[in-house]
Amino acid sequence: MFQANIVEGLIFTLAAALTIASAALVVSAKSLVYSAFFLALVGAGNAVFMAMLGFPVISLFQLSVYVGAAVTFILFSITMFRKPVRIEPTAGILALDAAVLATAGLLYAFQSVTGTPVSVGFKEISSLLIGKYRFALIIASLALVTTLIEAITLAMRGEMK
Amino acid sequence: MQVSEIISWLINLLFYKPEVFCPIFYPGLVTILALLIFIIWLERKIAAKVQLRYGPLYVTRKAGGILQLLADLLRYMFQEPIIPKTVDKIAFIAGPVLLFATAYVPAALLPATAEFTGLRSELSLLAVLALLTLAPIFDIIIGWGSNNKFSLIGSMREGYIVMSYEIPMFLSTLAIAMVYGSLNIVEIVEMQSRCWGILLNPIAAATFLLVALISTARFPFEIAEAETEIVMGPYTEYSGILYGLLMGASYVKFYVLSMLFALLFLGGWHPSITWLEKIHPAAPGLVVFIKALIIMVFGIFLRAVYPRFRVDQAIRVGWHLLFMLSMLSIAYSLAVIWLVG
Repeated sequence: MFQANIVEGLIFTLAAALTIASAALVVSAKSLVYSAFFLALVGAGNAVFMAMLGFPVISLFQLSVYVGAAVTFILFSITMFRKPVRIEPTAGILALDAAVLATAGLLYAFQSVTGTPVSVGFKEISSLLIGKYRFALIIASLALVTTLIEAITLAMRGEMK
Repeated sequence: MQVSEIISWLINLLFYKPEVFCPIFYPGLVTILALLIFIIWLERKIAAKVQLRYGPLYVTRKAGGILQLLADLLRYMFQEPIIPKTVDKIAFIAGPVLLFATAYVPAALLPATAEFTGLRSELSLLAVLALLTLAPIFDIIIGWGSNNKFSLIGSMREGYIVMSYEIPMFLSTLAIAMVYGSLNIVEIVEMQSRCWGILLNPIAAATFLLVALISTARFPFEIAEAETEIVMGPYTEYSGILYGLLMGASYVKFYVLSMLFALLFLGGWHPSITWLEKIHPAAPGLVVFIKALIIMVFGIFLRAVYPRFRVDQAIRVGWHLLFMLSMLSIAYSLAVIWLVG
């Protein structure tokens, strides 16, 4: 038990250090490609936290969607356009303000929320989605279908011409 | 503690603890290295046979030149890796190492048998899939870091292709997981003792196999490297051990996907050969390995018989064919669940 606590503490400390350092490097790295890479590390660190909190499904989806797919897409976009993005001098101040406000908001919101992990299988999650949260699922599906139609329309625009 | 006790403890740790044995020996690193040597030799030999050539022959002529690849490996290891002045050094050096590592890690999580597995988790399939999505990041980084137009074009091609195959890969895998009602690879294999996944959902199996060929740049999808068009694509500037790692990474990924195909669709370690357990607890896993090897041989045979697709054709295959097939495989799984229960 004691050993397990030490290992957990060590993993948490390492993941926290990696996440904080990578987050700082995302905004301070001169190359956008490096920023994207550090963003992947931030995402991986967050996935570790989620797994430690007892949400392995969310952790693995975080890894595949926000680290694997999203960062590949960001890197692809950056290297494809190859145009250096000019950052306005005032953008840093705005980003700092936004970060402070977001932190304050999150701290306020999480004061009243307790995240006790519940052991729910994906079958139960599916039942909840098509039962209790049916309306939210329909809205989300419609939004995704709309995005898909937009993507198909954009892709076919070249062929139509 | 006596020396003999230390040795027996070490042997027990290395060979009988699945958490250590699986990542290091089977299906992990040692198997991968041995397989790399064999499969590249076989690929060259098959291609040569089809083209009426001999292929590798001079190193161990009597054994068909099988040690040629070992000689090549040694050459790569001791060759000086040339790092051009204009490259981004960190990305150039770290890229191949991280690419190989991200291709290898999913192999360490695959089970050898039902009892002997490195990762016991209800979500082992999801974990393997999540880790498989990380490798393309480094493919793009090495292309960018090489500061060479051929490398960059190769990386761009890889990026385009990744976007067209990742969704079908997830959907076809989840389609078979739906049929068996589990995301645990061991459970899925155990349920295939009666009926293999390929028979329950052949559409998902076909989609997954095609995705495996695309994602590992097998012919006719060897588009990012395309030697006759863009030298070696993202790997153009590489030499020595760094090139060896890059070349090995795609074969390792192919091995992982072939193993996954054997586990999800070909019954895994079924029919189980129980007497093999007397040799070693992981030995019945040899059945999975043989099935995966057959898939790999099929994949490398395509090199000799197919011409290369253009990048737009490959993307069209991804979005028009594979995406639709993967959606169909989900519907097929739902129908199977509805009919069979």
